[in-house]
Amino acid sequence: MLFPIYAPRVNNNDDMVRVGRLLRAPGQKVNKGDPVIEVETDKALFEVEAEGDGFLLECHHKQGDEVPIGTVLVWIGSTPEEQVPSDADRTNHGNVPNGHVETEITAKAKVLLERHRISASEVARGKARITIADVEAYLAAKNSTPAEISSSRPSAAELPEQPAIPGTVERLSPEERGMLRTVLWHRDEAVPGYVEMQYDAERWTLYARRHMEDNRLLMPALLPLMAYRLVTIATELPKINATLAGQQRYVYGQVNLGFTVQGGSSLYLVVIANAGRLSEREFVDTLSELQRKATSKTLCPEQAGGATLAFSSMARWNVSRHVPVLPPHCSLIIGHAAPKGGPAVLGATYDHRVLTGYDALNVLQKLATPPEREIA
Amino acid sequence: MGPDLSQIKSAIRREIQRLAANLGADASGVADDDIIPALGILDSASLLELIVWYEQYFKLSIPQSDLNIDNFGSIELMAGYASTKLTQ
Repeated sequence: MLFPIYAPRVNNNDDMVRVGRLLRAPGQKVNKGDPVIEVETDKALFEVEAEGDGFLLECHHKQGDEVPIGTVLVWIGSTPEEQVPSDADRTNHGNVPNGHVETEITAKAKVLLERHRISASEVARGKARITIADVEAYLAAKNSTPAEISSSRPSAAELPEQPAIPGTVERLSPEERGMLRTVLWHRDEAVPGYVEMQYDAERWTLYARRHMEDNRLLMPALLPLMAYRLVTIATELPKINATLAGQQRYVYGQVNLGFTVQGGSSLYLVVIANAGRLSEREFVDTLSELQRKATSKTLCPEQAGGATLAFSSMARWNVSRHVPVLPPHCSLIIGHAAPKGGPAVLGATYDHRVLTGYDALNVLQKLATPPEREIA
Repeated sequence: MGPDLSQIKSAIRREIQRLAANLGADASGVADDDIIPALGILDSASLLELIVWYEQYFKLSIPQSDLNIDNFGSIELMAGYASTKLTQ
């Protein structure tokens, strides 16, 4: 059986991905789960896996090509000699080529797909018919926000601008481009405010130490525990886990907690999806695994995108203040600092369109102390 | 023939010293059975880097459930874990 491998969506805000290296030679046998081709995003370089066994037939793109989400990257066939579909079939993303069932798309669904620039193949997943409810469900699962909030203004990154002074142009790394996109969203979309307060670090330190001893951990999980506290606060105060959609607040149905991790010289925002479903221990373990993946640069795309709320610490660098930038479509990110010999500080960058300074301070006050039940 | 335990310990010790030096600490006197996190020469992020290095160097994937003080608390324990896994 012949089947394609499509360019996956990696980030809610990225409609294009860059083709990386082909990891198998044409004609080579591949098994389900084998990495076949690299795809580069703003956040990471990752490997797209074969969804079934077969032989790699052909790659239509060369390394470095920018392609829309849903584009066929390569074909996998049952024999090395199997013929790939015609060009017409290749570009018809709404239909599954080569004799498979065609997907019917309702008019409203088509409008929404176009508005969000999503290919039908992303939503279809084998369905014979796509309705607007399917697209909305897909967007909800991706934590995408309505298209109305997208800015029609060109971002600074799209405006060519070179100084008059002679110099050389260097391409930004994927991580640098991700950071650029984030800071541009912060600048162009959000209306950021910042508040901070000192807190008694001793209670949190004691809490983390007890947690470490109780669970025989290698190291105190102070920051993950604080991040988990933020998740529970968001359960109490859903408003902080929201963004702006048109003139309305869009309250997310789950907390996708973003947590900054320094991996070499790169900064990653690893994301624990639906963090509220996890116990404290599960959260700490999950975050520990993500930290390892970020440090070894092996994050999967879904582990580095779609944050709805975030936590960042620069305690390691001994800074006295940390004013973080809002990740796209987040209204609150906590900035933690704990300089040696100085007061520990909790800060909050918030989107003033969604939250007030009071809202942000309310979160900081709750976050300043660990859960009471554990320190009694 | 199994892996040489003393070579495993030496490799781990070198990496601990390198990571400690990055933080301005001297780890040259660390004994095999010293509890590394208790020494204060590596912060949490450096311990994380040590574990990532360990996985890559010994080509081991450590399950989260194994990542605890009983398996990775000291050079001795880390070497023992690697030795066991490499001979399986």
